Amino acid sequence: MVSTTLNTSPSSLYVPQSGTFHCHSSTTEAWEYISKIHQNRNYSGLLTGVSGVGKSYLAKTYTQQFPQSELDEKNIIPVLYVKLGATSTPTDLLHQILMALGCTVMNSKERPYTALERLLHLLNEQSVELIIIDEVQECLPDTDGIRAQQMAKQFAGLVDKASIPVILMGTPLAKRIIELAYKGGDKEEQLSRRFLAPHQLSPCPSQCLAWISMVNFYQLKYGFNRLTAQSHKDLLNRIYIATNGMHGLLNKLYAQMLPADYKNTAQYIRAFEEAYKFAIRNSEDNPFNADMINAQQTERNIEDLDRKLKETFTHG
Amino acid sequence: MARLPIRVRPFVGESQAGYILRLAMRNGFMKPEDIVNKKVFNLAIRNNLKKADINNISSLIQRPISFSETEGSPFPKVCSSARILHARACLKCLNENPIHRDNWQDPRYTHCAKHQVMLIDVCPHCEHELEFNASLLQGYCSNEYCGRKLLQLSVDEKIKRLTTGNIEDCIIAGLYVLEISELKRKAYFNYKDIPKILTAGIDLLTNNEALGHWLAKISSKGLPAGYPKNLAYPELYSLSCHIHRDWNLIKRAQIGNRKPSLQLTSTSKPLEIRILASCLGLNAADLKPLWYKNILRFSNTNRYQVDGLIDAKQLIEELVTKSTSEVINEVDFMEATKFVEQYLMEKSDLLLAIFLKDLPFYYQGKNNLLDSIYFNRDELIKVGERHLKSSKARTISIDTCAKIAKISPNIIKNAISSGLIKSSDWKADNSTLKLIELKKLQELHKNRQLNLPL
Repeated sequence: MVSTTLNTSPSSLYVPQSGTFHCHSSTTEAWEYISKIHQNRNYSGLLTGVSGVGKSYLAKTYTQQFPQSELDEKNIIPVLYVKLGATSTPTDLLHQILMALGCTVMNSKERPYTALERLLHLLNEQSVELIIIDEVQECLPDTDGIRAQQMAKQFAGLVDKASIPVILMGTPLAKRIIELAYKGGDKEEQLSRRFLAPHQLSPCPSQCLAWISMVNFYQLKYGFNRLTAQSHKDLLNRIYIATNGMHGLLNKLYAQMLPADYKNTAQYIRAFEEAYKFAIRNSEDNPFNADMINAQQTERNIEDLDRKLKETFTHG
Repeated sequence: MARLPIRVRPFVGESQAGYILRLAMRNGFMKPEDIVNKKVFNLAIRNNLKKADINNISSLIQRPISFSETEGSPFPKVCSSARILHARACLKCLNENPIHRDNWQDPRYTHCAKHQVMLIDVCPHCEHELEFNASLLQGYCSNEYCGRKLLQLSVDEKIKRLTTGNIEDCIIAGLYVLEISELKRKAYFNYKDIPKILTAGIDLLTNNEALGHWLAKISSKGLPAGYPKNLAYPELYSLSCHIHRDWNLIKRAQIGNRKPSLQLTSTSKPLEIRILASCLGLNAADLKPLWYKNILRFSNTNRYQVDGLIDAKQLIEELVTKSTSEVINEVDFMEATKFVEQYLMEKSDLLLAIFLKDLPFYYQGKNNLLDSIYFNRDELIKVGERHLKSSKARTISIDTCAKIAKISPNIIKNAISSGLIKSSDWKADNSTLKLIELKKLQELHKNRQLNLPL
């Protein structure tokens, strides 16, 4: 179930360089999902996951495996990564993709069809093979009204006309875009039939090799020694409770760690306690507070978390 | 900072407007105004981008750019700031390489120097003027109601579409060649661009489908048939004159009362004489004495009505025919002029003779003296009468009087000293102190009291 790197990926798919990305089975599946869509080019995809689970990191890592090449006349961009900001109109959406392509000359009064034509032209000129649009929930309003439908149609138009697969990424809210219902109650068939079944990226489970590998990735990244299950079981559990197995929180926590040569678990726990206060939450229920929460309580908390996680993703 | 992802650079010979258009198109924009503002693009159409504008475009593509200055017509600009502002194109060039070339907008080029086909400036289907937009480089009409593929015109269509200006500019280009190669060879000897100017001038006159067509038509007149490529300069000049004369007749038939015009500079006298002579069917050598005697004169303005000059010739012939029984088949200009003067004097139409010199003062807008005389004779008389009544114009200097009457100023002085003209008839002048009242002179002349030999 667990792999430390992506070297278990099928040979037909793109395999990243060793050590570039540490992940668990869900991440591996997400990588394969992107890679298959990239290779087949027939359908687009939707990748969801809660905030901080590592979607953006995954997308950026994937994009980096296909570096841009700068020619005199233009840049060749095999994989285009677009991070959406607040998007109010379909034209706005297209303009954000155009900006990611390097075109910052915009006309705010531009019609959506002319912006789309321009985008298609540039995608072709710059030999784009795959578009990854992150934070796609930003283009959806709170309610499924006309604007949401306009956005869905814009995506459908882009996928159809560009003949390039598009991977939409976002929080689970983003699923609405392909499950969008018309006023009559029918699903937004136009978009859903162009997309593969959505894939959900889940956090790393606790007490497994993937988790140890993931923590060690950050340990090494920030200049600390490797942790092992035998010597640092309690610390690994506490880190898990603090971050819920999320890449985003883990990175944030490590970023606040003071650089030092920590000899034992106690020293690590004290350092993490301070880092947690700074980075995540300054409250009394700090998982690194050894006085408040002992090892047995940590174990119980981990079990609760695992159960919740399983329930969430089984139902999801 | 604004950036464009596709960073094309100008080709050698590409027009500034064409480059901006191509840059916009390659970046997916439909109009050049999408990447530069309209004012800047209008400057580009005039090939007159400022340094700051070029820098702005450079920053758009993050690369330095420069526009070639060696391409285009090397001739000095005959028509001031002349540049055709709507788009023109050679379809064959566009098929080979879709760029808009700088010399297509030069009014002296009616044809593509490479393919020898006429540049088109309107859609042959809908007559819509070509515009600087994406359709142009793709070879389609930009009129949204037409949108058809642009086609090369038939020769007849092309000739219909040639403007007099096109032909004249070609001729002037040819005359520049003549001027440089024959008349001012020494003056231009050290000018490094001479070979280029000569080549371009010859190209303009010979690589030209419509002119070639006309050559074929007038080949019966002894000019080389077909499509001459290696004409010597005198032949070139002769060819220009023939084409121009024929062209005027045709254009007059085509455009009715609209008179074709020649664009000349006030400083290009040798050219003016030659063109005038060609229009009148005379040799320049015949015309020169008249020129220097001020019988024919160009005013200070630059524009001459060629038709007017031809009409002047008719006027002279008419006057000659009426005043004498002789029929002059071949116009000898010196003879004709003498007849005109004699006729005017005999008719006591001294006023007209005087106005031969002074008319441009009254007809600054109309410029051509003989033309004005012919078309405005009645009005002229009225003006003359007014002229005589006004205190300023009632006097004439002895020298002018003598010149008009073709007599020596001394004879008039003798007439004064012998009392034929009373001293009270004279008014003082600070410079000459010798002025004579015009009416008195007229009376004396009528009564033959002056007894002056003509």
